[in-house]
Amino acid sequence: MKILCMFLKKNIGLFFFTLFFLLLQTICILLIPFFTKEIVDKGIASNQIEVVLWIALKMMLSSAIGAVVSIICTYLTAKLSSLFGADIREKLYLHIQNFTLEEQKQYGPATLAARGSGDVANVQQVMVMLIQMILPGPFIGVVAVIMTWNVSRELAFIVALVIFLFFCTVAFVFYKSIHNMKAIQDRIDRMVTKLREVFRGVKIIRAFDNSSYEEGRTNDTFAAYADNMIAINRRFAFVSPTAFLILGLVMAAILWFGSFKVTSGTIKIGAVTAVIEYVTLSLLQLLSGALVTVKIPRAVASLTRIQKVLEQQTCLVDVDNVKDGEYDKTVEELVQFENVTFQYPGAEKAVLEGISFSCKRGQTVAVIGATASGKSTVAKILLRFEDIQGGAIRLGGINIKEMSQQFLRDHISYVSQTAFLFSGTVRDNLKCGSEDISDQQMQKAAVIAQADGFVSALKDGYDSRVARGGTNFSGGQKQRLCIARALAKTADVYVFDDSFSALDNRTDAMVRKAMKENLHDAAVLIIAQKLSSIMEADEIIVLDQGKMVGKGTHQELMEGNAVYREFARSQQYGGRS
Amino acid sequence: MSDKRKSACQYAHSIYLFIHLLKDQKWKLILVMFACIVGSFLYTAMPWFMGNAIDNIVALISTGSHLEITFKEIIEAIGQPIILIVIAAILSYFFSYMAERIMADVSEKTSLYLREQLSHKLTKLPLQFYDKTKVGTVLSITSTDIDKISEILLIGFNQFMLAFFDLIFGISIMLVISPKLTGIVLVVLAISMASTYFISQKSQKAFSQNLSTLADYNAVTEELYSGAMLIKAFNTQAVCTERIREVNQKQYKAHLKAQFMNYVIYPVIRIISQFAFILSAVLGAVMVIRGNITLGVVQAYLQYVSQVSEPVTQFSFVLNSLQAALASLDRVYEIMEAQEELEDPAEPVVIENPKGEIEFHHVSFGYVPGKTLMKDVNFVAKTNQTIAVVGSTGAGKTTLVNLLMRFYEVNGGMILFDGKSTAQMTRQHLRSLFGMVLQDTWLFCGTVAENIAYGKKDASREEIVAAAKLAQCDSFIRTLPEGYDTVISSEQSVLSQGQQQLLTIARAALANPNVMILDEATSSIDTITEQRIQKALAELMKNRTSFIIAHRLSTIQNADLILVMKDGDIIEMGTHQELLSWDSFYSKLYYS
Repeated sequence: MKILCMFLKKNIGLFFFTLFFLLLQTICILLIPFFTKEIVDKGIASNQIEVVLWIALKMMLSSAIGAVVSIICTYLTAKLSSLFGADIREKLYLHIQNFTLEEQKQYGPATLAARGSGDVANVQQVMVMLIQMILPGPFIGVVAVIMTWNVSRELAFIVALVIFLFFCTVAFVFYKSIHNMKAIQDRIDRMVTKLREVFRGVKIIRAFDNSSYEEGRTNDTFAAYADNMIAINRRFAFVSPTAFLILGLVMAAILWFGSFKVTSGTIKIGAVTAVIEYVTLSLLQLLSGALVTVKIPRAVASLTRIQKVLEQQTCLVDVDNVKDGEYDKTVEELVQFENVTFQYPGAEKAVLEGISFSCKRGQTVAVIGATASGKSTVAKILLRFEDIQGGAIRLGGINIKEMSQQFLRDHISYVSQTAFLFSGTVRDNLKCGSEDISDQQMQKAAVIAQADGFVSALKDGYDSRVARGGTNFSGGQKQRLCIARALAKTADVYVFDDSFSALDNRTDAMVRKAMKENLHDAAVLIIAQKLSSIMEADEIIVLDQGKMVGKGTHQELMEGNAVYREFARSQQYGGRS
Repeated sequence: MSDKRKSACQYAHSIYLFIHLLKDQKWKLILVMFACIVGSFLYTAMPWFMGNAIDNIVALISTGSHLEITFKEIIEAIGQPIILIVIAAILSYFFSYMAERIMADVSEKTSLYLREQLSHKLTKLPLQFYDKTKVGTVLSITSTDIDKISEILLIGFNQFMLAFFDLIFGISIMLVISPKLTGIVLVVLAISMASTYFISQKSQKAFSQNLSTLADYNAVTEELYSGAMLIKAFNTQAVCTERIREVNQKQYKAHLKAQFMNYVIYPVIRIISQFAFILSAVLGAVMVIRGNITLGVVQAYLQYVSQVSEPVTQFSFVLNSLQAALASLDRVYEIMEAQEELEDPAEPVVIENPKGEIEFHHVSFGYVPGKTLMKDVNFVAKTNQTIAVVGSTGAGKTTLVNLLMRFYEVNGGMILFDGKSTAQMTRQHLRSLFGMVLQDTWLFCGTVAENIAYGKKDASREEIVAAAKLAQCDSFIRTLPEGYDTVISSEQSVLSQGQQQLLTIARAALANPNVMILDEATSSIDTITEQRIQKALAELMKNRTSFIIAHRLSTIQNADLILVMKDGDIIEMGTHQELLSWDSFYSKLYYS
């Protein structure tokens, strides 16, 4: 709700303008029965056709004005809701962009994307409905009561009572159904989740001959959805019959009281039918509004979900006075880990504990360890995707917490574990949005990463399209493109997180050889579990369950480190033990 | 979708399907129709009674001065019409409630029926269907498309019926009152109907444009959120924000247009029907002045003008949503009518005491008709042997398993289990002989224990724990918040990839099959963990015929038979030693 209020505050002019036109529209609609009354009471009563025509002209005019006003009102409503959508979407994206990876992971990319698309669309839809279908009800009701008041106070009282009565009926039905309506989205989610699961697991389901079991479980989610919808439908089944019942009864009542007034000469006969028409129009408008209220709780739920994301503050921000200027690229130990400890918030065990090492310019340091040994985390905390709890990481002599994130990452080039490519061209991907990288630089990087060969062989070369998720490249090709992307960027430190896993041994060796020849100026950090990728490193750090259990060259570790030797043995290196 | 280009014949087919779908609910729908006729009739009667009352009052006034009219006279004039109106209102309440209430159930029961049919059909479809169909398509058909069908039943059916009879009764009575006037009204209504149809066609186009820009926006944001790490690492936030602004702007424009088109139809219809109303009012007034007609009748007539112009707009709306619902129904039936798996044989072979001897006999196969992948595969796996299948990606290793499990049918040759053709058995029986551990660690949303017991639902807790111990996962399961009762799924990553893999091994172990298939079962586990679970796998393969598909050659050196595959066929076979003893493809792989 808060975001909605904020939006309306910002666009208060547009909002009131829209409401004003809505009111005008309502008045124009009710002017038709008003003028009909004039025709009856003035035109027919005076037996003058000219009078009738004159009133009909006024009627036409108000009808035309009404149409123009309504069209403007429709446009304003569409504009208001479209602005709201665009505004919230951009806000959401900019906000989420600052989340840490862990904060993003709580939701997952699909969910976060759904907040900006599906959820915002839900709110927009109801926003339009509110102005176009629901609000006209009360508006027309109030105007009808006022116009009736001009005819007769007693009749105005009946009209007000009737509108209020119907309003109560709708409110009651709505109130009774609200928990069912809130459940709709959840039931849909369950249906979809279950079906997705069945679809993905079809082989295993069939292998275990569980098709009918899963069919039953899927059908349960369908039935739960249907039951919930039926409960809502049954309650809403009261709404239109009630509207028409009330309409019939009020017609009778107005005729009754009206007749006495007409015969006593207080009002004219045309006024009676005009009042009946006012009530009819009001009730029908309220009815069509009532029937779309079903959508409101879903939109409110969406709004709440959006709000939740927007209110979540990221825990990782730049310090106020950054020391970017003190960065010294001549420091001997370019990267320093000093007794570093890292733990996810709320976790029982630290991922990394007491890690110390350093990496000099021109040196290659490797980190090796089993799955879940924490080796990938070393790269993530160096790039400050997460903040460490103990110790310090220094780059060029400065604690990375005292740099701006942008400055830090400008000086590190990184290849992530999963080879991720953006949709676009190969060139877009390799330059990664940077204007500073020349074509020569890009191609040189591709040559080093052994990617130039297959890219040049493509019909459009570096302008070839990369499909979403890079699905039109093989795993090995994607990985080589990611390496090329990192190499194209000029940096002081290059970090490779298990980036050679999808390459066959020959390509792996060629990439590493080319890298060695070209990166002699930078510090290189390689994280791997394949021994062949790191054997030649100047220093190898062995991690086991978050702790450093060895440090040295391949030879040294083969001789003195049991964990390392076990690794080597499992990968058929040096059988002696 | 190419709804518009559909031929009349296809429409007829869709409508046939729709009617067929409602066959079971025939009596309920007839009842609803009856209720709508009565409701409409009563609704039409009310203005007539009102007109009567007004005429009576007018007559009363014109007979004398106000002072002389007594209470009794007024009652006589209006009593009867008012009572009739009240009765009509109450009766119409009951009939319309009946109609609404029946449709409240019918609509959702029909969609539930369709959904159940769909999920049943999914169990019968061959895996080819799953290969070529995107899961998103099936999800949107099951949720959104079927919802459109229930929506048209819930709202559309009653609305259509009422509109139809309102129109019939309204026009009939108008014709009785004044055929000439009615002629004019009908012309105006025809214009109204045509313009409604025209605008709603346009608005549908704008609407689908809106949806597609929204989908684009969703896709771009999802991609950028997925690549968040790289965006941070390469500091490309500004470029990405620019991209978001661009798609957001497109969606803004499409939304503005769609919403405007969607609602602008109301004022357009209103002005046309108001035009009919004003025209009738003027002509009616002239007729009253000339004494051709009474005031009450004109009043009633004007009410009928409103009554018939409303249905016209409703028709176009119902027609539009019916069109959409029929397109949805077509999509549902596209799946419902898809080719099913071959039926199981009428008299299936049952293997009483399976030994687990498997033979591929001149097997040929292709996933796509006309594109043969596997030309001629022959080999024999003897009881309790371990067979390894190696080869690069796309060589056909998994295809071998797919055929063995009869996920796909062979195109030529046959596969024998203990000397019997697997095509002669029921799939259920065949698959009960096998256990599988796949690279894709599929776990369903349920507890750890339920997942392990997936192949043997009556397993006791002790059996489950024993299987977990064998698969080396007992210890980490106990560290989970609720141990064996922790709820997991493969969508949410409570467990690491390796841990999920161990669970699938426990699951296969508990089912205790005759033949075990390990399809890249350890590829997502690092080599040290892999070594740790080798013991579990060895345990799993003991006293069973086993197939191991591996890309790491280190794990299969002890196999009794190694099949080397390339381009769909087996190019070499033998033991590790045999294959290394000559200049084989295998030795190239091994030494690379």
